Amino acid sequence: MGKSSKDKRDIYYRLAKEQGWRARSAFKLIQINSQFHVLDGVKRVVDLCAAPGSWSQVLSKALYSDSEDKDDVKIVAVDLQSMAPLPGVVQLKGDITKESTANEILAQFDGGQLVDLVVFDGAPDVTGLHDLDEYVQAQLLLAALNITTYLLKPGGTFIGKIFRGKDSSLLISQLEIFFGDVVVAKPCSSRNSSIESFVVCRDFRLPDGYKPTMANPLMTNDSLSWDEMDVHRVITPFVACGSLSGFDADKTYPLEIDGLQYIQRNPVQGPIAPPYEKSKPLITTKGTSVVQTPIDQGVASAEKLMD
Amino acid sequence: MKYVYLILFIIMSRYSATSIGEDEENIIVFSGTVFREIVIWSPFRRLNGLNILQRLQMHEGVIFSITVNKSNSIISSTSDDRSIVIWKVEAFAEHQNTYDHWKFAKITPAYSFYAHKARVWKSILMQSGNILSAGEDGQICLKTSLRTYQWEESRGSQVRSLDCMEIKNLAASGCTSGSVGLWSLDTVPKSEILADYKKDNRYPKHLVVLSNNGTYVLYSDGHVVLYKNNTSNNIYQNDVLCCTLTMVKSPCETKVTFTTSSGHIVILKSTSAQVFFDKISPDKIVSTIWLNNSQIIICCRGNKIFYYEVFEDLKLNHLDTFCICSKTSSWITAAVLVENLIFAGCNEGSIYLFKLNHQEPIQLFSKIHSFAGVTAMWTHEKYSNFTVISSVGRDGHHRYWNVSTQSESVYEIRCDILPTKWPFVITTSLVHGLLICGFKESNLIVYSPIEQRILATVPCGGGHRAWDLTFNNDRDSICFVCSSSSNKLELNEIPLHGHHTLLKGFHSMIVNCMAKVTADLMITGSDDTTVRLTRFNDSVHNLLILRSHISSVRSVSCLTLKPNVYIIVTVGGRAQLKIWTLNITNNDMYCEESISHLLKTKQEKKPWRTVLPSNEGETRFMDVCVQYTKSKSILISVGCSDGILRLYNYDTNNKTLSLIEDNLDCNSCILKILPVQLNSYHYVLTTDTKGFINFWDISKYVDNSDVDLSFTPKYRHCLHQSGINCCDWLEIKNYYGLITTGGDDQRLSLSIFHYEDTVTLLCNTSIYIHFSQVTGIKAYNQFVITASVDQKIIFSSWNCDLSSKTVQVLPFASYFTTVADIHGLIAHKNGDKVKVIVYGQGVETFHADMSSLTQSPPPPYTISAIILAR
Repeated sequence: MGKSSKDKRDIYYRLAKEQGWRARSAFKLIQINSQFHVLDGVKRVVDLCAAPGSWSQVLSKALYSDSEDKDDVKIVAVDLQSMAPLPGVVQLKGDITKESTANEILAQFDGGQLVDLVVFDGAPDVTGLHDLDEYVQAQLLLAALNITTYLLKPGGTFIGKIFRGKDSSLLISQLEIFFGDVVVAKPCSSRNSSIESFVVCRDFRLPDGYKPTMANPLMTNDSLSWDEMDVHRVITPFVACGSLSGFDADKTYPLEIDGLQYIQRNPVQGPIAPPYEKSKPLITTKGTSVVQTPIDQGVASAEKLMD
Repeated sequence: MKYVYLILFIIMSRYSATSIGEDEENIIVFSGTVFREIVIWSPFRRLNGLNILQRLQMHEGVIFSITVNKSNSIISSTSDDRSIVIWKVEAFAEHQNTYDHWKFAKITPAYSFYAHKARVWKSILMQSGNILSAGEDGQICLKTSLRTYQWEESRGSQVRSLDCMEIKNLAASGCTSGSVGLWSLDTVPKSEILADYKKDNRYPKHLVVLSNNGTYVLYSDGHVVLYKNNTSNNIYQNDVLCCTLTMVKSPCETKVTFTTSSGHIVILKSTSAQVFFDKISPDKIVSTIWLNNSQIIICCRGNKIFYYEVFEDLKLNHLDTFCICSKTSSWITAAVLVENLIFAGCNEGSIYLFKLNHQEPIQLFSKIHSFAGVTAMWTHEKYSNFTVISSVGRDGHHRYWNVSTQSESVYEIRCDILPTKWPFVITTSLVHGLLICGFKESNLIVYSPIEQRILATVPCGGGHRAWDLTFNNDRDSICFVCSSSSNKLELNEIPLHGHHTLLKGFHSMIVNCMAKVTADLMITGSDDTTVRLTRFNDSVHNLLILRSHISSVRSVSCLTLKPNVYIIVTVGGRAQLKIWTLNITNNDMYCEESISHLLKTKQEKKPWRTVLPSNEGETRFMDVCVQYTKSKSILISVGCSDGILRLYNYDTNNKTLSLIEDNLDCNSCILKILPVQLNSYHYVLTTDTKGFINFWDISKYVDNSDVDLSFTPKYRHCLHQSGINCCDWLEIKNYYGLITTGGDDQRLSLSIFHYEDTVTLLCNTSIYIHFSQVTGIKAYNQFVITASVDQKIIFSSWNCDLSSKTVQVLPFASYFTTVADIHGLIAHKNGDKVKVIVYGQGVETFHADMSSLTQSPPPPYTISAIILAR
C-alpha cells in the first residue's frame, strides 16, 4: 500500500485532485449538466449541504464564465459543517430544516428574489445498514425539498441525491407533486456498485393552496405496508449521464494514461474538524484499551434555559 | 395524541432519544441531535412558551444514545466522536417531581472515556455503577470501577443493539452478522497477586503453570519457586539456572525442563520434586520442545537438533540427531511427531519435515510463516493415510497441512487469517472445539476459529514478559500467569463460557455471491472476506468458514469433479483467485485450498524502496465461471475491473494454474460473465458498466482446437443505458436463444438472438418494473424472476413470436423481501414449485407455487416464505 493506492483504485478520485476539485463528486454535477443543461442561463443558485464544496466549485466555474454580467451571479452554499472558503460563493452555516435558514438564504439575494436552481448532494453519516441509510437519505432529501419550496422560483430546477431502495418510488411520487418533470439520473462517475443516484426535477410549481412550512420538514409519513406492495405501473424515466467514451468509475486504470507521467497529489481540501479527531491519539495509545479523560470545563456547557 | 408527539420528537431529533416520566405532566424527553448536543424537553408542559429544560454540550459528533439511570442522578451519552460521556445530575432539592427535578437540576459532565475504536452506538448505566457499552468495532465493553472487560460478539461485525437485565446479571446483544448473543456479566476474568518480587530484588525469567494451578517460577537468581494454594515453596536452586534460555512443561504437565546457554539441562518432576541435572551440550541450548510425554527435541547453537527420550526416572536417552541447513542461526520452535516423521517449524518461519534416521530434512517450506517464526503446532484428524496438522506463526496465519506417512510428504491444505499476529497455543476443547491463544497489542486473547470470535480478552501487558497458561475444567477456563508491569506476579482465571448464542449469524457484511454445491449446500462469498459453506434447509447450518481472501470475495463458481468431490473457484478484490477442492464424505467435510493466485505481472521484493509506484492499476476480479475442456482440465474465465476477460487453465491432476489469455478487452469494467454453448461454439458472455453485452468465442480453449482466437468479441450489443448487473441465458429452439438482463437503469430486458454460425439480435424489449437497479435474474420457459435493490422479487411472464420478431413481457406477481441491497438470486424449479434464495445484506429463502401461472387472468398468487438468515 503506497500513497498512490487510492489513485489506482479510483480514476475520478485522481482526476479530481488533478483538476483541483475538492471531491470526486464534482464530476457528477458536470455530467448531469452535460446531459440536462441545468446550468444554462442560471444566475442564482443555492447549494444545500455543500461541504466540502465541490459542487459549489463547479457552479462558480460554470456560472461566472458563462455569464456576461458577472454581478448578477450569486451562489449561496449552506452546510452544518464548516467549509473552507471559495471565491464567488457566499457561505452560510445553518440547518436546512429551519425557516430562519431559508430567510437567511433569501436575504442574500437582492430584494428576496427567488432562485433559479437548488442543488443538494448531502448524505448522512452512513451506518452501514443499507435500508436505514436509504431511509435517512430520503428524509434528508425531503428536508432539502422542503426548504426548496421557500427558495425556488416557479419553473426552477432542483437536483438532489437519493439512495435507490425500497421506498424510492414513494419519494419520487412526492417530488412529482412539486415538479412537472422528474428524472432519475446516474452519472457515469457514480460507481455502478453504489446505490446512489440523482433526481433531476424541472419545472417547479407549488401545488394550489400549498404554503411552504417548516412544521413538518421531513414530510413524515409511513411507507406502504407489505400487503399493499404491488407491481408498479408508474414509469419514472432513468437516464445515465456522461459520455460513453468518458472514464468508467468502476474500471481499473493504470497510473499512466495516454503516456502521461503520473504525479501523486495530495487532496485539494482535507477534512475540517472531523468528530473523531480528538479520539484518534487516544484510542491508538498502545497498551491501554480504555482511556479516561477529565473534562475540560471550558469546552463543556450545560445551558439551563429557565430560572 | 401524546404518542404522536413523542414519535415526532424522536424523528426530529433524528439520531437518538429516550424518555422517562410517569404521567403527562412529568414526561421528560432526552434527545441527542445531529448538532452535537443533548436537549432535555418537557413535551407537554411549557414555561414562557418554551418546553426545553436544558441543553448539554460536550460531544464533538452526533449523539447516538442517551441513557438515564433509575435514580435520575447520572446520564450517559455516546457519540460519533468515539467517547462516552458521564454526566452528573445534582438535584436542586429532594423529593421533587420528575419535571422539577430536571428543570432545576445542575448537570455537569463528570468524565468521558474512550473504550471503542469506532462509533459508539449505545451505553447502559447499571445500578451497580458499572457501564456497559457497544460499538461499531464489534466490542461489548463493561466498565467497572476497577477494571474494564471486553468481549467480541462476532469477528468483523458491529454490535448494533444491546440491553441488560441487571437482576440476573445478563446482557443481550445483536450484531450485523444477524446473531443474537446472551452474556453472563458474572463470568469475568478474576485476578489475584501471587507474589511481589521487587522486594527480593529479582525478577521472574520464566514460568510454567500446571493443570493443578501450581505455578513454577524461575527467578533471575536461579531459584525455582512453586506457588500453589496461596503458599510458596522454594523447590530447587542452581546457579546454572541463571542463564536459562527455555523452561518448558511436558504435555502431561508433570515434568518441567530447563535448558541453559551453558549447555545444561535440568528436568524436574512436579509429582515427586525429583530432579535430573546434566550438561548435555558444549554449545548453547536455544530451544526445547516436548513431542509427547516422554520425548523431547533440543536445539543447540550451530543448527543442531537432538532427539531424546526421557525416562520416568528423568534420565535421557539420545535417539537421533538432525540438522537445519541455514546460513543464519536457526532453531526449532514448534514440532509434532507423526509416526516416524517430525514436522517442525523454526524461528525463521520455515517449516521442515524430518524423517527418523535422516539427518537432513526431507522437505522444506522456506519462510512460509514470515520471518518472525512458527509458534505452535497441533495434530488434528488422523485419516488412514494422512494426518492433518496445523501451525500458527508470527505472521498471524493459521495453516493446515496434510502430512502423509505413506508418501512421506507434506502439502499445505489451506490457511486462515487470525485476529492476532502473535498466536502461541493451539488446542481443542470439548465445548468450544479448536481454540487459539495469542497476544493482541497488550492483551491476551482466546480465539475460536469455529465460532469466529474472540472468547476472551485480558489485559496483560503483551507477550514480552514471563508468562504461561493452562486449561482447566475440560478446557472451559484458562489459568494464565504473567509478570505485570508493577513488578507483581499475577494469576488470571479466565472463564470461556460467558456467552451463549441465541441465534446464529451469517456473513457480517454484504453477501456478494452464492453458488450451489448440492441441492441444499451453498457456498457464499462476502465483503467480510470470508467464504462460507452452508446447508440451507429448515435452518441455516454453517459447515465451514474460510477466511483467507485478503479482500472482499466477489464471485464464486462450483463444478463437480467426481462424486462428492467439488472444485470451487472464488475471486475477489486485489485480483485474487483461489481454487478449493471440497471433499464430502458422509458427515465429514474436507476442504483444501489448492491454488491461491494474485494477478501481478511483476513481484517487487521491496516495493517501499522504489521511488515511483508501479504503473499497474489495482484490478479487482469481478466475476468468475468454470467449465470443463475437452482435455478434462478446467477452464476458468474471470471478468476483471480493468475491462479484460482473463482465461486460466487449471490442471486438476497436477494442481497447476496457468494464465492462458489476457488480451480480451471489453473497454469497460466487466460486471458479469456467463458461459453458453451456441450451436457447436463455446461462448463467454460479458456484461459491462456501459450497458454492453459481448460474445467471446472461446471454442479454441474448450475444444482444444487449432482455430485462431479472435481478440475482438464475435458480437457486441448495447442493451442498457448503464451497467448490466445480471444476466441469464435460455435456449428456445432452432438456434434461437433468450438473454434476459437486469440493469442499473432499473430495466428488465429480454433479447432474442439467432445463432447458427454468427450471432444476430432478432428482437428485444425492456420494461421498468423495479424502482432500483436490477441485480438478480433467472429465466424459465414462460416466466422470468428478477430481484432488485428495491427489495422486490418480481415474477414476469414472457412470450415470443419468432416469425413476427416480437417478444413480450408482463409482470404478474411480486414478493417483498427484508433483505436490503440484494446482490443476486438463485432459483431452483421443481415441477410447479420454485425455490428462490435472494442474497445481499442477509439471505432469504422462499417458495413459489407456479401452478396458477397458466390460468388467465392470473388469480391471487401464493408465495410462502421462510426467512432464514438476516
